[in-house]
Amino acid sequence: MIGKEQSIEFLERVLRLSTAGQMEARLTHDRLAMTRFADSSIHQNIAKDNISLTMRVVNGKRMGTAAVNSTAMADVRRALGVAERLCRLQDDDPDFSSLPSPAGFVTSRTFYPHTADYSPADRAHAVGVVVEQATHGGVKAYGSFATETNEVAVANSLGIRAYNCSTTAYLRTVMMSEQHAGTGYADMLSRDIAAIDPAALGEEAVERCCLSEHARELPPGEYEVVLTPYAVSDMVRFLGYLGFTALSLQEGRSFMSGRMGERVVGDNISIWDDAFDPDTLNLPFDHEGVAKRRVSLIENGVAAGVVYDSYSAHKEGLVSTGHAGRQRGGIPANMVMAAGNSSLEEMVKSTKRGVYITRFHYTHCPEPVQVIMTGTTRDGTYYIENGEIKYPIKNLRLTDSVLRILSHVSLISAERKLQRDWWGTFTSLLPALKVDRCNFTGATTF
Amino acid sequence: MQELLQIAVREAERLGADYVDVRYMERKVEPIAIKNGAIVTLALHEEQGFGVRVLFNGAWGFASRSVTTEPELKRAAAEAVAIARASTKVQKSPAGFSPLDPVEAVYRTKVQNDPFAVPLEDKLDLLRALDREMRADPAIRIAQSSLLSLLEHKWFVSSEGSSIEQTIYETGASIAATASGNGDMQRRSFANYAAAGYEFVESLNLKSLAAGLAAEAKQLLTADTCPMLDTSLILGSSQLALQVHESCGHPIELDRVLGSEASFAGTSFLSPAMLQEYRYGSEEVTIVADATLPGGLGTFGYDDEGVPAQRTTVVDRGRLTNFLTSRETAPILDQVSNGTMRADGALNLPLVRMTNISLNPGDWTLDEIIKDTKHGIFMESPKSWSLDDKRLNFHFSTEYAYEVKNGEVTRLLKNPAYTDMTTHFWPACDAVAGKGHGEWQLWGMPSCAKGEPMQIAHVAHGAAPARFKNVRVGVGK
Repeated sequence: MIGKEQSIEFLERVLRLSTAGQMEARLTHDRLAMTRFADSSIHQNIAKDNISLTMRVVNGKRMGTAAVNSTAMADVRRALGVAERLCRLQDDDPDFSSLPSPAGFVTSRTFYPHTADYSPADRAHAVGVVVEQATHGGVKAYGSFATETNEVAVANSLGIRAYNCSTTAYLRTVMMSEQHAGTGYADMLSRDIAAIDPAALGEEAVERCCLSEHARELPPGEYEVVLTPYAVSDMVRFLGYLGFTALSLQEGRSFMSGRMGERVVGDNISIWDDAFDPDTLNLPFDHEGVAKRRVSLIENGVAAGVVYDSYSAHKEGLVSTGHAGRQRGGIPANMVMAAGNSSLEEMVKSTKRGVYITRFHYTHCPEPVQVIMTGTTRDGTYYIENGEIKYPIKNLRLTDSVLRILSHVSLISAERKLQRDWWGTFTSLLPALKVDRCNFTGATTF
Repeated sequence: MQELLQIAVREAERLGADYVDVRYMERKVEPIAIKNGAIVTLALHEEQGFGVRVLFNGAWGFASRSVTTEPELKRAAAEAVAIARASTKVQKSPAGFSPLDPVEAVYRTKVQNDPFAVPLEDKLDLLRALDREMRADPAIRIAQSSLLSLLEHKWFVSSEGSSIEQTIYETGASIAATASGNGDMQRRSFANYAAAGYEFVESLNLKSLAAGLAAEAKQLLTADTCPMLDTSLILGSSQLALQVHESCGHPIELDRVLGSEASFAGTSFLSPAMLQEYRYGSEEVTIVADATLPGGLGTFGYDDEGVPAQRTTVVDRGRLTNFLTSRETAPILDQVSNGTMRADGALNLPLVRMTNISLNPGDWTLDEIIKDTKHGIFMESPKSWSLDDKRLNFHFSTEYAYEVKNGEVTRLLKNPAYTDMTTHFWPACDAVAGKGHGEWQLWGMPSCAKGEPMQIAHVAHGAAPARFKNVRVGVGK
């Protein structure tokens, strides 16, 4: 680890190298260790250590950016020279006013030493526990176990000095029976390795897998649907990057454009972004070192707000909400959906003729303005009839508007899960949902 | 550089590794983008680093660092061996590894005009001109244009005695016009990339493309919506290239077939037993993986295991004849690697990746296919794509379509989409164009995601328009 003092000291040295009107430097040190397993054996096992420095140089309304994954001062000077040259070549951007100014931020616990110190042998032991569950259940285990330590430090010439170190542990598995006839999924994600329970995870996935063998066909059409938090995460993902960013609103691409204050989904749906919720992957500040703020996105079904970085905020005479990302325009990072008072069991019981969906695969959005998503189910799809899971079904293709789906939610679970979507775009805190109707447009043969 | 990397080879061998390879790479990427007249990206990203891969008692370990010094090389070698040692704890059988003769070689992309030597002012002038062209019509609400230049300089050494140096250049451009009006937003875009110099960008004729795209985006605002029906589907070259990528390229990756990607990217409907037996498509369908194709984003001298670039027929007149393999996976087929292991930079582990996977040109022209079609829909330009985890059921939407009636192109259609099963779709191919001048085109795609942690590969696909019978279109409104 580089540490807070050394990181800030280094960034201050970098800032002193420039004579630009304003400058920002961002240092990251990412250490990722990951063990992947397939066919109940470890097949890939890595450790990756990367240090990266990104510099933004500002003169008036012009900005130049350069990045280098080195802290050697010769490399830094060369990259800074590039950023300064790119800045000179820029046109004036009338919408740019300034880099962000400093403001205090609240720190919360993001670093767990046991996660950072987790060794290859520890990971192999945990994977062994998952494989044992698979063997016991007569199936095979596939998956990955990653532990990460991420240091980030941001400093700018206006006085921002921000440093944070966080850890993440993420274990997931797909269990498969012979000839891949049945599959079952489970994952666990936390900043603290102690919260990861390989035995419980293996048991959950084996149970789903065994329940999904001998799947029958179900014709596409409209059905009631029970969605686990795994599945909900892929729906919320589209809202996150298509609708909840200031840029998408400003460009008129968001489903909330021109509809702020209007009902966009059912009144039992509320979604906000809260980086201070200890149940999320909490972080005190964004890519620009700006303190995170809680932002209400949808409140009781009504379009309530979007997230801003400093550029998109200044454009509207506002202050950044602390949601700067790699791309300009703001991006949510810790979406939370309001809990209800139901449970997955109650949702199944309340379903007359429906589909239980564990998760989706490779979803995409053919019509962004209407937030139409399409994707196939996987790793545990079951037919529900008269309040009971009757039998596993071959995977279906859901093609429907996320807004329409969230307008027909009848039950929301009290329990929520920290969930990364299939693409890994967002990590959100989400409940399970019972939806009264969803449209399926196709089916697979497995 | 090779001498420095040998430090890690020797250290890993000293610690008991049976096989070691070390890759070092310096990569430079220059993205430039203009949106509605404003420069939104003007940056240079430089990265460097090395990765040490070891095989220890039949198990793999890999460690990488961005800081390349003698102590770090030794530390990474030791870490890779320790990781491999841990891998042996959960392993049913030792990993296979096909033989390879040591290679000493140098490879360099053929470049006429170094993209990094072209003045930035000239590149910005081009993008500004494209932006003006697209926004000449007030219906265009968002105009985007971008250029990308990439240079990779990489070295590979192995404990088997290989020593390879490669220099790879890539360039390309994208432009997009989004029109707004009539209560709708419609987008038309173009993007292509190649392993080439700036001459590739100059050959794209972007200025005339920009004006055409803007006009088409505006026309789409008042176009009829694509109807839902089962009909003959004619795909244009760029859409078919993506179709090849998604429903041929990914299923033939042997690591996917064997379950290596099961928990994320998925598996494949294919199995090793289907080799030489399975009928993938009709007689019209021949698909080739060719890492030697000049200009392809999947073109190189040697893969990241040091295996020479190769040309492999994967589907021969409809029959499955090969998979994309690595040194570890090829022995399962009693083969040696056909050289498709590539990593996203030196810090990541090489994976089986597509190279340039192309549908061979057929003996039709697009005009002949249209004239031969009584009822059909022509679709072109990718908009969205989604496939199941075995690459069977798929759903694609495209930016535009035309109705074909009685051998003639009739009305423009918006929001087109189609869905089918891979096992039905390729056998239903009854006509492939390519006889006409320029109908077969190579499309560079610098965005193929795979692996954990996710890696992005640069691949290419060649295709000419082709027709598929009895496909469901218009799904997803």
